[in-house]
Formats: sequence, C-alpha cells, structure tokens
Amino acid sequence: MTACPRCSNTNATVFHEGKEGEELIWTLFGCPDCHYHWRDSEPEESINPAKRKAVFQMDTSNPDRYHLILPVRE
Amino acid sequence: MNKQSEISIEVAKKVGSLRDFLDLLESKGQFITWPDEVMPEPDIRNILVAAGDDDKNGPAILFDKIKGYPGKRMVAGVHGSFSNIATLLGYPLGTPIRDLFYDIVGRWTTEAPQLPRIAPDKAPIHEVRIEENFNLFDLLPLYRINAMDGGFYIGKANVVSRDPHDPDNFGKQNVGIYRIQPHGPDTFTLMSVPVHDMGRHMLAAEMDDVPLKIAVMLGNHPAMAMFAATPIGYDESEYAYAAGMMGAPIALTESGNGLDIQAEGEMVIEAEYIHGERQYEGPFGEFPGSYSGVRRAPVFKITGISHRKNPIFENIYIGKGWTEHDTLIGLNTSAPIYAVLKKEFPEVEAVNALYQHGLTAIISVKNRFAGFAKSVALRALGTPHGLVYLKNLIMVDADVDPFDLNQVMWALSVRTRASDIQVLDNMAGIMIDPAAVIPGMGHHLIIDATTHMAPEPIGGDVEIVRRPAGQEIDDLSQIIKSMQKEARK
Repeated sequence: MTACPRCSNTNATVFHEGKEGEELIWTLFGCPDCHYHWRDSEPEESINPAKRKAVFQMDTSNPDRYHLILPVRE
Repeated sequence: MNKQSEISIEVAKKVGSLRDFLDLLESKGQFITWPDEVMPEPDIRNILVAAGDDDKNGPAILFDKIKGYPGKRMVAGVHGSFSNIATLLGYPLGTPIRDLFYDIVGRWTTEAPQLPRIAPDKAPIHEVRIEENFNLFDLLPLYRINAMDGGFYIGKANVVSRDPHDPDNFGKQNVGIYRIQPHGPDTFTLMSVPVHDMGRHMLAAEMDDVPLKIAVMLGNHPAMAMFAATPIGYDESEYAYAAGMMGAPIALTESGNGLDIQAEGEMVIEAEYIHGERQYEGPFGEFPGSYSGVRRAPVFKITGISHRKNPIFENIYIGKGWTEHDTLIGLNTSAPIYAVLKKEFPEVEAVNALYQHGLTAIISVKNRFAGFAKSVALRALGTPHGLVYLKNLIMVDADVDPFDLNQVMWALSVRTRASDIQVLDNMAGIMIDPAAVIPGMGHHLIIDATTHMAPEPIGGDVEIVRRPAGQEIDDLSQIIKSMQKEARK
C-alpha cells in the first residue's frame, strides 16, 4: 500500500508497470478512495504532496462537498 | 442539399478512416512522427502545446516511442489546425477560415447519407477481440493531459448510446464526445450532465431500471470526430451529418454489445452503466482554460474490447487555448447557429463562434432598421447552443468579416455607444466558466457594433471611407508579395 499524493490515504495500489524489456521505467498507482492515478516518473507538481497546490488536495471524509453531476434515483 | 465541389468529393472518397486521413495529411506535410523517445509526462503535453500554438498549420503528431509503452502508438493534433480541417474538406493549406465556414454551412445536410454496413466478422475494428482481463492502463498509452488533472484522461472518444425508451431509433442513438477518466483496470467515469443527450439516456435507464450499454470508439473517422462534438437535434444522427458533410461513405458495423459503430475505427471499448454508482472525477483542464473541480460522476464497467491490429490511440491536448479542441469544434459550433438563424433572418451573413466553444461569438448581419441586430442576437441566444454557451455576443455589419478580428475591433471601436451594450444577468450558463459566480449561471452580453440607423440619432457628420477592394487590389497584393520575396533573396 502506498500513500496517495492527493488525499493522503494509504490504500493505493499498483495498476501497471511500464517496462522496456526487463527494465522498469515507471510504476502507475491508483487510489481507491479519491481515484487519483499517477506515475512515479511524473513531475513533482503532480505527485509530491508538498509541491502540489493545496486547492488540488482532497478530503474524502466529506463526499457531500463534491457535487453529483448526474442525480441518483432515490 | 450538399453543395460540395467535385474535388472535395474525390478527397472524401479517399478518407474512410483515421488511417486514411493520416496518409492524406502526410502527403501535405501535415502529419509527422515524433522521432525521439518521450516520457508520458511531461513530454507529450509539452510537444502538443507547442504544435497547438500554430492554429493555422500545426501538424498531427504520432508518438511511437513512448517510454514504458513499447509498441504502442498515440496520435494527437489530427484536427489541430485549420490547414488540417481544410485538407479534410478538400481545400489547399492556408485556406481562409471564412471560406471553410461557408463550405461547411453549404454541406449542412443529412440528406441521403452514405452509411454502408459491414458484417462484424468482416469489419477491421474487430480484428482483435478481448473478452476478459481488461486493463485500460496497459491497453492504452495514457498520459496526464494537464499537470493537475485527476487522472489519465481519454479526451477524444466518440461514445455511442441508445435511447432506452426508443432503442431502435437510429437518430436518437447518440454519438458524443465526453471526457473519460479510467478508474480501475476495467472501470471508468464519464462526464455527461442531464442536458447532454447521453445524460438523458443515463437518467432514463436509471429511472426505468434497464441496462444502458455504450460503445466508446477511439481513433475515429475525422468527420465523426467533428460531428460528435457538434450541437445538433436530439433525434438527429451524428453519423448522418458526418456522412452528409463528406458526401462519401462512412462504414458502420455492430459492436459486441449491439451498438452501431464505425467499422474502420481503431478501437471500441464496450461497457455497461453501473446504476446509482458515482465516483470522484476530475479535476480536468477544460476548454475555458481552467480546471473543472472534483465532482462525483457516473461509472461504467467494461464488457468487451475490439481493436485493429497495431491500433493507434487518438487523443487530444485541451486546456488554455489555443488547442486542438478549439479547431476541432470551432466551425461545427458556428455552423448550426448560422443554420438556425439563416432560416428566420436571411440577413445573417456569418457566425464566428470559434472562441471557447462560443463563450464569445461574432455574428455579421445586414442591418434592416435600428435595433434589428439586437433582435437577431436574442434569437441566437435561443438556439440550442446559445442557451448556455453564447455568453458574449458581438453583432457586426455585413461589411465586417467576423473571422477577421482586425475588422471586428474596428467595428467595436467606431460603431458602439453605451446604449449598444445590453446585459442579461442571472441567466443559464455553463458549469465550467471560471468567471461564473454560481456555476451554471451567468450573463449574456450583447454588444451591437452595427451602424446606427434612423430613427435613432445618427450622430456626427461622418462618412465611412470607401476602402478600395476587388481584383485590382488582390492583384497588387500578389505583386507586392513577389517583390518582397525577391528583396529577401
């Protein structure tokens, strides 16, 4: 399990590994909580929580603050 | 009736697929293969931004050395410049945008579309079939389009869905471009809201508790890519418009889950809507040049995939303009507004809604009487696209070319008074306008930059300079250009 750069939860897992022959080029992770996906080869502004702008961070403990784009049938 | 030229029909006959169009672009120097290895981030977006800066002549670019994706191919910028659009329409490189606009409105028809059927077992798109162990992150050379996007987006797919209340109606079968965020190896979210045709399909399926199957087409016929983003009527077929515009066949076949798809597309991802499921989606760098926030969006689960051998993943750069998105949909946003207005107001000359999907647009009109242009503007706001997208509308006279911003600025400079500016506030707007105080609400601004006419006061004792024009001036321009060319040698 890996920490998500966006929501800081620690449930992220490996989704894919990019290889050239036997050489590992990058690892692609996905967070099952906030659904952020990232590659460990990306620039820090995307994947380093300390370098990411605060406005792009997420708090998954409060889902209602994120609007539904399509209403759900009751 | 389609009024296209013989040359354009000959060109259209050669283009049955994305691959055909890439060959045609290559023959014009409008398609290149990036020679070096690239990292998915940030190399691909940097190269595409640089290519997109040249809205007149930027080429399509194929990447086939993406580190970590050996053997995979990705192309973007296919509709990235007006010269690429001109090539599709059978015109020379550098054809003025205004000429392309008049060509497209002349072809605006769904009469007798050529949509031949190919049996699924003969269709190139089904050359390779996958029915288990799906992994989008392995299948596609995905990359982060803008640095703060919430995922690796698919930005140029054509998504097919049927109306659950009328599933056999070909016209109500929708083909639209909706941004797709892969979530799991076999799941993705899709951004469609209730006003979209596909949003209607999802709501109807959920309401009646019936399945909604969709086909996500990647690597499409270049005319389909344009029409999937075109605002047309709910019961009108994007396939019919695209084939109508081309005046040539676009072959269809059936997806594994029973939808009409392009037979010569690169790939189709078949999926089913998971009722009631919503997952975090976004942010995504959208066409207004700003990130849409995180929202909760509908979720789909993959049920099958078909693709051609050695498929090309076609994607797009979109964000702060100018980008391929602006060129892809600009003329196809302008044309349907023109088509509606022209029926009721034959005085309308042209519509330029190239800017941010029409958030700013310019309409030229022969002014009949004082205030007339404002009424035409109000009608434009009542068109399907105008309702929420036409935020800033500039009305100019017929002697002003709305595609020539030097002329438009002249009209704004010398033909406007304070009383020519009307603001309708607290109206419907788009959700992702970064200027909106309340997302989904906003203003309509009309600037009437047409000539003042009686009975309103005309003002000072002025006459407009008659600018010499015509063949003599065109010939002289050519002579001057030739002399300059000589002088530079």
